[in-house]
Amino acid sequence: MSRPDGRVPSSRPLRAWLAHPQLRYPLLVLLYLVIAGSAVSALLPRLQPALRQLEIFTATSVATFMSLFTGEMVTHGDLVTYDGFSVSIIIECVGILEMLIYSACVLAFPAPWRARAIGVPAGCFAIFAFNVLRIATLLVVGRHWHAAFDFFHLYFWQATLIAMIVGVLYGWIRLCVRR
Amino acid sequence: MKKVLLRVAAFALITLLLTWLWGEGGRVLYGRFLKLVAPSIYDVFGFEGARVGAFRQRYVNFVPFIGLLLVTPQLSARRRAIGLAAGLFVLFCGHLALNLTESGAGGARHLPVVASLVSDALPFIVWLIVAAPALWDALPAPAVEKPASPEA
Repeated sequence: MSRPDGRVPSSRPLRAWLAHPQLRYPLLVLLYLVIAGSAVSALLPRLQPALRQLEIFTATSVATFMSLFTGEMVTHGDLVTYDGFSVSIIIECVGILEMLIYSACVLAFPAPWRARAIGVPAGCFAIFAFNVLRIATLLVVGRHWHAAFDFFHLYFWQATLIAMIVGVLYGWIRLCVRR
Repeated sequence: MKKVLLRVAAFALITLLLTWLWGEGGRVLYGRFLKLVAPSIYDVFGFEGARVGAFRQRYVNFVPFIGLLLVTPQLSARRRAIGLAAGLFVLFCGHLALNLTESGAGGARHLPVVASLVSDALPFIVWLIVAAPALWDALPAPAVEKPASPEA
């Protein structure tokens, strides 16, 4: 219940806080993340074969993308090699955590369900593409500037992870939510 | 468009610099600091015996938070400064919690999914809260609920 002036009675400060979109949105994102993470955790043994395939698919995608520029690409399972420099694609490298965070952000956003239904798969695809680009860049750095590989591996992980999510989310809002 | 590109470039520059500082000694200093203060905090909250074990790469998640907060436009200096301090404190608490999940995982090679997700998303979520006024103004109007009508 609200007052005629639109303000919420002070007897319900917690509810008023939670009703505020600026706080409700981050809390909803967090809630969806916990739900999604718990679901993935519970299903992890069953998901293992699919996740393994995702690792191999990511390695193949990186090799296919880099083959556009060089003929020095070799893949073997989740191992992708560029001119003698190899990286192994583990589950944390396929962008699945980024996709889950992004999906939680989209689902929590006050937008029509149709926009959300488009936003989740389209954004996940964009994140996958960005991730392929990220791994390809790391391969080039590792091959030609080996000393800097650890630095860029760290940098392209946390910093670009957030930048990727913010960028794709902003793109989705601009393209799909704007009325 | 030019302003957006400048902000992206500033974000890249800030995060590159911070990641470099982290690699050049920041991680060691922070590891020492955590080992020093964490046991007493764990003891206060009843997690006796919990200790800071293997160094977690995820401790570097403060980098994107600082980067985002510094390049966000239309934030007052006061909100930026308080948000920075409060946000870093929240991330520090997140590191303590992350370390606890490591103990609970029984030395598993990978962190539990929920802990990894929350840890990776935390800088973004804290930034959303701190920068909310500026972000909400900058975003195109979404389909939000209509203002509540007066009730009897």
